[in-house]
Amino acid sequence: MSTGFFNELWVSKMMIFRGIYMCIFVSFTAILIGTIIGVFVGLALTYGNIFTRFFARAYVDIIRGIPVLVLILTIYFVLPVIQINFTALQAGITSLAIFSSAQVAEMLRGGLQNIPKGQTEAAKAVGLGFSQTFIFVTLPQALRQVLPTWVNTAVETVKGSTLISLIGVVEITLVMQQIIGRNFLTMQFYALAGLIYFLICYSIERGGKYVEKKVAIK
Amino acid sequence: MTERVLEISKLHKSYGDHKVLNGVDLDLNGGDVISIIGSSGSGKTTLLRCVNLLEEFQEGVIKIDGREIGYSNSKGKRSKVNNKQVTKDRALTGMVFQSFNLFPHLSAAENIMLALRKVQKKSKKESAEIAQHWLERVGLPDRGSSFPGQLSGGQQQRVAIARAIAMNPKLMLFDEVTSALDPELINEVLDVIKSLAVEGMTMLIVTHEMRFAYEVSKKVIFMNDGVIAEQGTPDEIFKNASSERLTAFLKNTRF
Ligand SMILES: Nc1ncnc2c1ncn2[C@@H]1O[C@H](COP(=O)(O)OP(=O)(O)OP(=O)(O)O)[C@@H](O)[C@H]1O
Ligand SMILES: [Mg+2]
Repeated sequence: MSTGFFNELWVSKMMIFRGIYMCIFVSFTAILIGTIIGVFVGLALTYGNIFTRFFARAYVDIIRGIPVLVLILTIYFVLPVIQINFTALQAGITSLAIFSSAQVAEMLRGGLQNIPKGQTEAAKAVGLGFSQTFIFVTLPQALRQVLPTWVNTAVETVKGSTLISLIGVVEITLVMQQIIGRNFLTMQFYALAGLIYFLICYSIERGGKYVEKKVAIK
Repeated sequence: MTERVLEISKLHKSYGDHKVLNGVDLDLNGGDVISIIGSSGSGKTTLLRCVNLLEEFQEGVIKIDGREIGYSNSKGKRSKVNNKQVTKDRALTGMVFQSFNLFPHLSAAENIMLALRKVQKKSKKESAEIAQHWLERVGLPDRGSSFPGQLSGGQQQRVAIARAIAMNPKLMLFDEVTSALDPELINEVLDVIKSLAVEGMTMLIVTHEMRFAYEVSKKVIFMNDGVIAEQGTPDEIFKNASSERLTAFLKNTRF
């Protein structure tokens, strides 16, 4: 059995690598875009006027209340109805980006609001303007605070990326299904998939811990 | 050194219905050190915060070097100046807070350098030199690379003083800067302020340290219920207190 497994593994190694690449590419892009959007939404939540706050709040609450899978299916199957056609890959990245943006927005709002008022007052008192205060005083402190939660979101996004196999993006899970369809080594290749996901997520967590230590406030 | 640095007239401030300042008039000339004493809730902090434009106020005029700050009056109509101007006006004064409020993610030197670089657009080198100069001046020549969390309260407060004064303000505002400190750390901070007084820095100091107020001030102001209830030389206030309120207040403080 095990010789069979290693044989099959050797034969399908390129497929697996492509699957891993796709998983990392999708997750990375989604987290990157999601973080950028999330920072702006988080800013709107924290400093916006009543209207921007309302819309930002609605966005965050709705997205956080919808399962990632429903988000993916909606963007892929429902948006074409209003003439927005995404490829499966685009739909996958978009939905995961939207998912992570809501998480990032909420954690950033929390992080910013946790910073003592004295910090912004001291920044004002030395003559820093609003955006300078944000960039040099509040954001650096908020980012340190939200780093663990952000790492968590990155991991959730990687895990969520399995779901885009359902709309046909050939990432790790779908690759494994294809391989299993050919050789019926169900247990071995799903175990392998689990191991690969674990290694990716574990590396992200370790990396996060490392950065956390590096930038910790003394 | 007798030009008028600060001129406050008929300052009124309320939070909603709650009147906190009821018409405060106060002048400071260059080099003046004026201490403000008074019981809790009398509006001392609020007064300083108005001068630093951290609070809006409903009535009155605050002038620094003869120019109104925070508001403009044209054709009898009073309006707030724009945010950019508020930021500029605020930079005329330096404020030191009870709770230090150092930026915890920056070293002591970086705390001082930040505004020098970003507000005054000085080079990194020049900012570092200024920071070092003021760190030496407050007695912390070799703590520039320490982070706030690695400094004692007294050291943190001295860095905060250095950070404010390095911006070269016209006027320094101190709000109970020793109240959060352990007793044995109070004097090192008061000594720094005294030395600034000797050098001719114009200062408005809210304090509960009566002996310090007595020693350092040219004039002492006693605030009560949002007005200046009493003012005079340190001797007049501390040695010859006449009004009942002031006598009662002083009885409850240690000298
Ligand atoms: N942000 C605020 N909103 C509402 N009321 C406030 C606010 N800040 C201060 N006050 C009120 O204004 C009054 C004056 O407060 P202030 O802090 O100026 O007093 P203080 O003289 O500095 O007292 P202390 O000696 O305790 O520091 C108090 O009654 C206080 O409750
Ligand atoms: Mg006070």
